[in-house]
Amino acid sequence: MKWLKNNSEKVAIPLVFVALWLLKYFGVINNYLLQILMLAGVNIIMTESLNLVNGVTGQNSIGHAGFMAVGAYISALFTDIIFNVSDMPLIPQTALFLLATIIGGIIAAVFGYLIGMPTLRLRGDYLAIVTLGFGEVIRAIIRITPFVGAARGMMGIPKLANLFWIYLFVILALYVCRNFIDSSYGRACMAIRDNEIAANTLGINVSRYKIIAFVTSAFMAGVAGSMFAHTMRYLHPDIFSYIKSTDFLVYLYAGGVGSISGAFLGGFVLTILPEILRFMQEWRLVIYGALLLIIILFRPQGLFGGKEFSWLKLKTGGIHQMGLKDLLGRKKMIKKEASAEETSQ
Amino acid sequence: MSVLKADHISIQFGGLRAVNDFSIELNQRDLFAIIGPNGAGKTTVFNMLTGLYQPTEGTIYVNGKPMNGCAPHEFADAGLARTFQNIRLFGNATVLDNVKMAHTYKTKYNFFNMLTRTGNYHSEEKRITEESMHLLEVFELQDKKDFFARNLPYGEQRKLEIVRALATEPQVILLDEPAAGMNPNEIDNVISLIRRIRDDLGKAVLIIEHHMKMVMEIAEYIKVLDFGETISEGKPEYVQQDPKVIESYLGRRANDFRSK
Repeated sequence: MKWLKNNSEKVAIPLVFVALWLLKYFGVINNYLLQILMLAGVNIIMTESLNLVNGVTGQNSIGHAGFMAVGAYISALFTDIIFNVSDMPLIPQTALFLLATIIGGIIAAVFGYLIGMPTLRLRGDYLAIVTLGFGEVIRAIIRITPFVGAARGMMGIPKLANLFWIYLFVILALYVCRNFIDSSYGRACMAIRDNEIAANTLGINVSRYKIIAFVTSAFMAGVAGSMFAHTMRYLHPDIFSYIKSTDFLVYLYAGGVGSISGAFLGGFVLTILPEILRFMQEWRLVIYGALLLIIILFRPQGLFGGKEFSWLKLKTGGIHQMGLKDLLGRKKMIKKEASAEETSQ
Repeated sequence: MSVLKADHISIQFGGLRAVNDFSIELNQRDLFAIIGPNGAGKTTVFNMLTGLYQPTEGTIYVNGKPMNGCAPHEFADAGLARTFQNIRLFGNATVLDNVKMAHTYKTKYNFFNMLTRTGNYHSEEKRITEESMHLLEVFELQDKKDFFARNLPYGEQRKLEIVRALATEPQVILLDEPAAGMNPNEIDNVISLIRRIRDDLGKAVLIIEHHMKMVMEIAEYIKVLDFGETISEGKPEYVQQDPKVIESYLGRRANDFRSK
């Protein structure tokens, strides 16, 4: 019982997967809902990836869709053009899809390194401009590359991603981010965010840790890109414009910059919200915008800034751990805390 | 062998020679001080000694190793730590995390171990936490370990910055105005803190301080800077009497002008 209480996530996560599979099997999740859930998963990975750079390391990257584009195109090139995967049986198909995803991630990480090397010496706004420019350059290059469809876009990518693979990568992204933050790497990055000069004089190699965070983030963005390509089955360079990058920034800052849980919920809720608001027709995006404004006005640190799910088991100090109790019964918890204080006194 | 040696260093910002021909040599358990009026170049010397500025002339040696062209983190690797005049804590991290952050460069697990939590990840994390807690206990900050650094009272922020610098296990520690803005009672605490760092931990200490009573009480050797020049140096009793030092702080007496 005690083991169950301390390791609830090891039971709960597989249960969620089974529940999703059952819902899909009995037709509760239709294709429309499925597509939204899959896109939400892609957006979660992207927001977590952005959180590593903008939230944890405190560097402004506003061209993250560029890394996503690299991952998407490279992996689609691999499954669609180099190996024509759609004619293969299931197992080699899946294996090649996963391989393509990893390769997409690695190439995106290489781009992250090439961009990061010279530019992470810059601070604040300058880095933002360079990353913005990178996103646009990638888009311009794809536009004139004939074998990925140039400006027509790339069509007929096999639909290999499904709910299982996407959410498996979401879990992996959460795991990687959690382990990153709760280590000397994450602490070095947070030190750089809070005070770069002090971090440097304490023996932290500032540019090295910035690049590690940036490359890890680019890898995750590449993986998200691959998932995106194999969900949508169609890629067009204009999908990955700076507007896309801005979307992820909005998810991150509304969810809570610097918080894994905030990035998760930001990516999830804000992908689904516009669909829920669909009954309002033309007013949909107005309401969406207004909601964002309200969030930023009343909670400038984002909805979940400084808070984390307790099942992530982050050991970093000063964060508010959110358990199930927070969501279900606040009163009970407060009572419990009070009695605990009494006994300790 | 000296732990920190500056050999005739100078720095030039455009046409301005901020520090000219400065030399210092610290051995283990030395407690030296640099004093001088505002704008004399004291902090510039510190910035050169810790790698934030590159001296235009001269060489700095840490533990006998020449440090020309090295970045600040390489100075820290060589055994140097410092605090800042305007406190530079990691405000959004807790007191304990501030100290843990200073352990970064000595951590012995690689990126792959970190991602998968294998190898010596767990033992290293345990060691870092234990050592940080120990250091906080030694300097009586353990009760505040879960406070955000920015919420600490001023005096304890200064103290935490010193503790954090000590966490890098330096041989030399450079303190930039550790008693600035403190009342006499707090200054006594700082004095005993610095003595403990030197006597109990065996570090060499170099301080910049404006508070003369404190400097005269603890420093064994004092260097006086004015307009980037070393105008006087020696034991506290000598520096205190030196007319050049008195002149740079208080100005010349009116009849001295007349006689010249």
